[in-house]
Amino acid sequence: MTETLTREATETADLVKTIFIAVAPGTVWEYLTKQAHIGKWYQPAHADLAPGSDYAMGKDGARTIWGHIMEWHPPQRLVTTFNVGPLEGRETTVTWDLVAVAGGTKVTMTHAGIVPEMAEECAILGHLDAGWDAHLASLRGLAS
Amino acid sequence: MNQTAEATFRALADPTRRAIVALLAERDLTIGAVAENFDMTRPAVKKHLTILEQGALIQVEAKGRERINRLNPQGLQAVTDWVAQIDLFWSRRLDTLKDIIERETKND
Repeated sequence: MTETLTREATETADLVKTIFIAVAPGTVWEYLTKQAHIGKWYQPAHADLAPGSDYAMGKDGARTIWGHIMEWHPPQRLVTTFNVGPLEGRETTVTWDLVAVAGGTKVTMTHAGIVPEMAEECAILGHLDAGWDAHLASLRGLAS
Repeated sequence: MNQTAEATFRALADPTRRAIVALLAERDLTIGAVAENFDMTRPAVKKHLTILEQGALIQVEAKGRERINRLNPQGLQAVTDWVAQIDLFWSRRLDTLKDIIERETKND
């Protein structure tokens, strides 16, 4: 089961998901970065991920998901840019934070930039949770 | 991203259009009434309203000779759907990641 941290997502317009996996962070890191493992849960990777390099994933050599490795701190933190066709060139970032906890690893995935900044200004994500009345209130706030 | 969400984002990408949305959140307005609030020509305002309509953020209703612009509360649905789609994508990927790792390491 994954859990969406709704409050945080509303404030930052980032999608944040946390999951517990019953292995050490070093093992999770291998599954996030090694070509041999990535395809099992994500998309077939064209190569191992490596610090400072570009990456691409997709079946039969197709580039379905691609980006650049921005931060590389094994086995704690991995930050990548994330592009996918439907984003139409709008670049987003995906951050993985691995924290050792009793019996395993707390894995937090943060996907930032999925809603354009301008839309954030209009408090669109607020609307997702707070409902239309609150949304109208924030729009009135913009007008004043 | 689906087409409507993209149109909605495009509609919101301009500060004048965001200001128009804020105005229409207060009350329904004719094109002329919207234009009074901005230092621009009526055709320029009409152009902005058309883009907002394409983004499903407003609805335009003909009332006699007037055209009344009104906010469309459903307009943000496309954006909501877009975020939900990404949410579901990651939920599935993360569930699979957990399953695969825990299954494979158990056998080590």
